[in-house]
Amino acid sequence: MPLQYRPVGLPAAAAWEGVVAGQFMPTKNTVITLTYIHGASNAKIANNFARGTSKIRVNVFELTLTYKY
Amino acid sequence: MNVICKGLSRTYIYIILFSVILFSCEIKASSSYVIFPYEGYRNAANMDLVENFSATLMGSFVNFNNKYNGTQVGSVLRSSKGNKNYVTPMGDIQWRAMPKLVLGLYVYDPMLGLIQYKSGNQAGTKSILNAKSYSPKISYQVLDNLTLGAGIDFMHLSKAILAIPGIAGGTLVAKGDSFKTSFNVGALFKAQPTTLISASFHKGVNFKPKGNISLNGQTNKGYLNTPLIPDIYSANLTQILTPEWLVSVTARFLNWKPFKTVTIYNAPVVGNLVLPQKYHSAGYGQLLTRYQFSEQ
Repeated sequence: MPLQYRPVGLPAAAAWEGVVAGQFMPTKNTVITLTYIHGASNAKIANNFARGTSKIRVNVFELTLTYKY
Repeated sequence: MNVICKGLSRTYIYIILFSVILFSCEIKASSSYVIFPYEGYRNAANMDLVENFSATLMGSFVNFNNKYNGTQVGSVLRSSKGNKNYVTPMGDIQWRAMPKLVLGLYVYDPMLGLIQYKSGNQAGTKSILNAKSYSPKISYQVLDNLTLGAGIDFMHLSKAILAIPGIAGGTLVAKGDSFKTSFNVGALFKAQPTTLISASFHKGVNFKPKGNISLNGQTNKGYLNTPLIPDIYSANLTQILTPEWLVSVTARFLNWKPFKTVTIYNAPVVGNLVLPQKYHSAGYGQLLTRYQFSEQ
């Protein structure tokens, strides 16, 4: 799995995300990666039809299988 | 990155990553959504790190929670919540066709907008904006330590649904499809065997889905012009500190400025509807560290 394995981008007033991942190589050519991402954003809404705040929370589990030689 | 994995031979690797928004990225517009910038795949120049061939399949299981509190202009206080689960696949193939030339194909979701209100006075409304990108890419090693890459992104916004409450006393719902092409370029500089510097640019996309637009029980054929994917600039520094320990820093800039309005054409009741938006660009920083706990 490429290292720059990346995250959820959240355009918002404030946002952060954390990622934890583990890789396992059962054979010389096979890589299995399991990743958990948590993203959070709080956005202010101020347009011509609504005003308020929008909160988004994203939880992502990713399972990846790579074969290479 | 494969070049790094080579040095680590067998890899039981753990990655821990934390990233934050660096500076103001306020988006004074409708609700946010998610962009998936998988830099390792999306920078075509990084394909130079493959040995001979690699194929990757990924499944992402997304739990998306949205909560809105605020006022509807000219209406009552609104508070709505939504919760939705979603599964999205991704695939990537890279093949070294010649010693300095690598060809690849990357299929992925560049973004996901998924808002479904289950409670509150917007209960029952939902917006789903999910695009697929089919991206052939190429990299070429122009110097011993410099590789350039490029790709074309064929993007399909399929069965998009956009719900906008508070229009003429009702909720406007637009459904449609859109197909757009974009491009990306990248560079990879191997400053040292243990130091990699890379950068990439992805041109943004302004989808214009065509289909049905409904409001207050009436439906018209129409389309909307909505900003979905901004220009994305990325730069990365990867440093191998020890054979087991690696650190990576990424800076990313999302340029939302070109997008000024959401426009809905030929809507029932209201005709052409122009909704001015005030998007602000986003800065984004990411710090990643990886440690190999086991030799195997």
